[in-house]
Amino acid sequence: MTQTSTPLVTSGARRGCGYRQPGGAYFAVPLGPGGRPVEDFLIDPPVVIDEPARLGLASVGVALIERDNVHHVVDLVGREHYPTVASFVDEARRLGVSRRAPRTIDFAKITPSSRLLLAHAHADIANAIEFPCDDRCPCHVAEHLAAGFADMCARLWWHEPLDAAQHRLALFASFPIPQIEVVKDEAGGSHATTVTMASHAGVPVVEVER
Amino acid sequence: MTSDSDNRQLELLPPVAPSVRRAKLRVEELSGWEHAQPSPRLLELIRKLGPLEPIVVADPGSQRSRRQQPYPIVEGRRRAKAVALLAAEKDGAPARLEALIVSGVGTERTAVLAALALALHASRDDSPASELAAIEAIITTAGETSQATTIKQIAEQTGMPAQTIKRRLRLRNLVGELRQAFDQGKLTPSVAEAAARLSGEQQAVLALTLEDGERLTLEAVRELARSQRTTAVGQLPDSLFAERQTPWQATVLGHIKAAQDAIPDTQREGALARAIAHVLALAETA
Repeated sequence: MTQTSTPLVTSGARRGCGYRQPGGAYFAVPLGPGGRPVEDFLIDPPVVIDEPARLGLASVGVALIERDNVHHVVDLVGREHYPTVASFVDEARRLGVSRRAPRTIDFAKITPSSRLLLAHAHADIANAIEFPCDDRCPCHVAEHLAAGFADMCARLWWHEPLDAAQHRLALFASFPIPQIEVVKDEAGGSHATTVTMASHAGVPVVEVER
Repeated sequence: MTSDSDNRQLELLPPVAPSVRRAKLRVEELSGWEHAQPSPRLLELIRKLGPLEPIVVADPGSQRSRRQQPYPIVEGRRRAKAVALLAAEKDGAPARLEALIVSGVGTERTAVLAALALALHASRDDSPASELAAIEAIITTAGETSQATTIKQIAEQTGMPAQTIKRRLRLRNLVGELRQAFDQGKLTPSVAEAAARLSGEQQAVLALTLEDGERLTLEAVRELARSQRTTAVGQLPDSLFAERQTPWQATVLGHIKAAQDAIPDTQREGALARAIAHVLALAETA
C-alpha cells in the first residue's frame, strides 16, 4: 500500500458567491481533523471601520495592510452574496473559508504570519441595545455572558435581519492563511500562470480541481 | 430581481441616422469647450496642419437665434479649445473651424447627444472629464433605472467598456473642490482617480494643497494615502493580528455545531442528530 500525503483543501462546493473560478487563486482555510471551530476566529465584538478608504478598502476586492512589518489581507465580504455575517460563518463552518485573491495582488507579501481579516457591512449594530437577546455569546466572551449585557455581541448575527438596526461596516473575523488554492483551468490552462504568481507567497500553493 | 424601471430600455442613440450638414463655425458660437485641456501634441498638430477633422455639434434648433443658443459640442471639445488658443496667439485672429452639425429626431435630447459623444469617444483617445459628464447626463436621464442597468445599456449601445464606465463613475467620489478642479482640467485623470479612492477627510487635505496654488501629483496623493493608512492600521487592536486564546466553551460549542451542520439533511431526524442536539443543549449551559 502506497502512503500518499494529500493536502487538506477547502470544499469546491457552490458557495454564496457561486463556484470558484478556473484559474483563480484563493486564500484558503480548509477544514480538517484536529482543526478549530470557526468561532475561534470570530472577532466579538466586531471592530468598526469608520472610514474604509483610510484602510485602502474598496467596495470590491481586497486590500493589503502592513503592521509591524507583516502584511495582512483585508477582504470585504459583500452583502450581495452574504446578506448576513451568519450566512458567511455558517458556510465557513461547513466548507471552510475561501476568498478570491486578485491576480494583481503582490503575493510575495503574504507570509505564514499574514492574517485574513474579513469585514462585512452589517457586522456591527450601533443600536444593539434595542435588540435584547437571550442567546449565549457564541465566542463565550465573559463580558457578554454577564446578566443584563445588551451591547453588540456576535449572537445578534443569527437574528438578522433586524428591522431598524443601525449597521456599521466592521471586521468580524481574523483567520490565518495556511495556503493559497488555485483552481485548475482544464480548458484554458490559465491556472499555470496563476500558480506561478501565487508561488511568490510564503505559504503553500495547492492546485485544486474546483 | 429587477424593477420595472430596470426593464425600461433607454433609447440612447437616434432612431434614424441624423441629418448632417457641414459648416464653418466661430468658436464663440459653440458651447462646452471652455474648460477643455488640449494636449501640447494636439496644439502642435493643429498649429501645423489646422484641424484636419471637423468637430461634431448638435443643431440647437431654428426656433431661437443662434446668439442665444450656441451649438453644443458633441465631440471635439479639445480641438475647439486648441483653435481658440491658437487664434488668441495670433492677436485675436478669428477662430473658426469646420463642424458637422447633426440634427433630426432625438438629437434635441441630452441623453442622445451624450450617448453620441460616448459612441464617438469609444473609438478614440480617452477624455475622462467629458466622458464622465456624458455618463452622468445619461444616468440623470435614466431616472429611477438602477445604475447597474444603465451602465450595461450604455456599454451595449456605445461600445464603451462597462469597466471604463465604472471607473469614470468612481470619480464622482471626489469632494466638491477636487471634482471642480478635475472638470476644469486642473487635475489629471490619474491623480483624480487616485484621489477618488481616498476618504473625504483625506481629499479635503488635497483640496487645501490645491487652494494653496500647488500642483497635485500622483506621488503626493499616494504618499498621503500611505501615511494615513499606516495611521489607521496602527489604530486597529492587536488582537486582530494574533492567535487568540478562546474560552474552551466556545471551542466545544463550535465543534458541536460543526458536527450538527455536517449531518446531511436526510439524516437530520436520526438518532445521531438527536444525540448531538442534546449534547449541544448541555454545552450551551456549561
